[in-house]
Amino acid sequence: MFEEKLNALYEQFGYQKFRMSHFEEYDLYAQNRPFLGGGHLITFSDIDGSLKALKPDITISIIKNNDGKSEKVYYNENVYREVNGSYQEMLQVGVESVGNPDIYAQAEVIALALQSLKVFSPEYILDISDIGFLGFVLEEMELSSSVQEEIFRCFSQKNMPEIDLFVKKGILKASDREILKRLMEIYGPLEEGIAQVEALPLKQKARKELENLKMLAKVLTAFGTEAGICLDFSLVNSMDYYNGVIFQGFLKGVPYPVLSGGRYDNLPKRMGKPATGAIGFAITMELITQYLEQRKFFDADIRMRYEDSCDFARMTELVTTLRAGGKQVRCEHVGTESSMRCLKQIVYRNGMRAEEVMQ
Amino acid sequence: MIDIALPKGRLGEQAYALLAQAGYECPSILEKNRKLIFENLEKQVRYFLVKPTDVSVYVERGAADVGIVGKDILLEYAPQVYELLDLGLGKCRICVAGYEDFYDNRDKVLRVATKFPNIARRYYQQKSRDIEIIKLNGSIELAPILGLSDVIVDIVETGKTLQENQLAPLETITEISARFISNKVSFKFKNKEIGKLQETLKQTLLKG
Repeated sequence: MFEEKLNALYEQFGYQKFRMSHFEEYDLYAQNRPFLGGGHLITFSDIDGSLKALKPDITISIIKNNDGKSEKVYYNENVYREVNGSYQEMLQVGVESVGNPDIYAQAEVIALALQSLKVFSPEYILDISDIGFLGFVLEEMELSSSVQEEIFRCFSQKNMPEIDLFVKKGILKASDREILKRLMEIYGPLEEGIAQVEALPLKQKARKELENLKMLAKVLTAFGTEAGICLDFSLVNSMDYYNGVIFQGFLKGVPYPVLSGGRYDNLPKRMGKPATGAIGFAITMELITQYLEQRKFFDADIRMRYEDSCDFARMTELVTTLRAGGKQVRCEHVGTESSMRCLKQIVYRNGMRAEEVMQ
Repeated sequence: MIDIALPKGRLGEQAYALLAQAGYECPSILEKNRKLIFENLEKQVRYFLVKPTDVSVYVERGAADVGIVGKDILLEYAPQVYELLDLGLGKCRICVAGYEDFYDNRDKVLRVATKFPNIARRYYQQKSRDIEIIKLNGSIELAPILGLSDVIVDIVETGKTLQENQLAPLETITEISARFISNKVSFKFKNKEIGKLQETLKQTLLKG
């Protein structure tokens, strides 16, 4: 049900459906292991002896197939990944905008992300960050790349005590620590957040990147989505792939992000397409099934049991009426053993009427 | 309502005392019984008492919104949570310990007994030292005495247990104290409540 609504939403924005086969060359994934977040793949050798893998991801295939033209696609595909030490098949729904995503194209994808969350629940949050911005802030503090990496990790944990250790060791200036602290504390509506960042004493590159985010926020407001979007620099993703705005979507009652995405120009670059930019997101539908869908307590509403003396034709008429009324009915001989759990158990008596059953 | 996971034992008692001082008291927790859940509707808090190593599991999976846990657990299991405050409680060190006159012969693979295989592995990786990990669950000090391992990696508070077993701390891997952690999604949906709790705890700590 959710998938159909999502598909309709994406088609409204003129996105085309992307379909692909179940597997790709193993090398394609091996070269981009970190993009997949590590983990084992299900591999096998094809008839011709070449090594193949069941697809763990769709984005890589979309970029592989892009011919340099602008492309806006969505997909519903099963992916195969290692989760907590065992393989799982998971349904992924996603959107990618490939080519040269300008401010409008980026805002469109983020707006679609927010609209997608709304499909699942009225209680949702979309958090947004700009990994390029945070990168420039740290770069302009003249920190070594290993320290930058550590600070990124601290941001992902909102871990100020650990950043203070860098001040203690004399690696980080006290004034810079203040900036990092203020950035880490920001959590609120996008435009308010940007205003708070603007008040900080930032240097040139960071300020320029912030201008981009500001322009993006303006377009998002026009999309009518601004209210549901929060600025949060604790979203961190691999800078080997992501280079600009990144975002994650949350639903109340689901303890993990259900949606995650961002601007990832470095993936096409690594795949030999330096002129191509891309932004997109994916939704892990498994989490929705796991946490949001109503729990089922019964296998069926009614278990209708009959004896040898039963008039099958009349019983059939009765259960057909019940089914037409929306009930799930299972018919079984009284002698049958079954581990099925039904709301109601009834032994059929010739001449029984629907009202009696429903009492 | 905020759900708070506390570690059973001394650290949990200290942590509760701090939370109570900050205005999040729940007196039923002090009663001597076998209950595991304690609630104070007026203060809108609910406490769970769980095994110290499980606090991060409850918080990471959102069964608890926030929790108090030793840094050792965070380093060992690296859960995806926010690490909001250093509470300064339960201060101790993770050390390499062994016989005082222990000589590390680098020709041999070093046998390390520990409850913290990930911390030990990372530490020796940094030092480019080949090791063999022997995972134990308690009485780690026995391992070098019985020749099961060359050294141990364990928590050292006063060093008394080591001393009584003729062992000594040899190297300090890291300092440890209790942290106030939060589930990442709870932090977003209960931002006001958790933010207030964080701020109040911080103020209480500053007052001492």
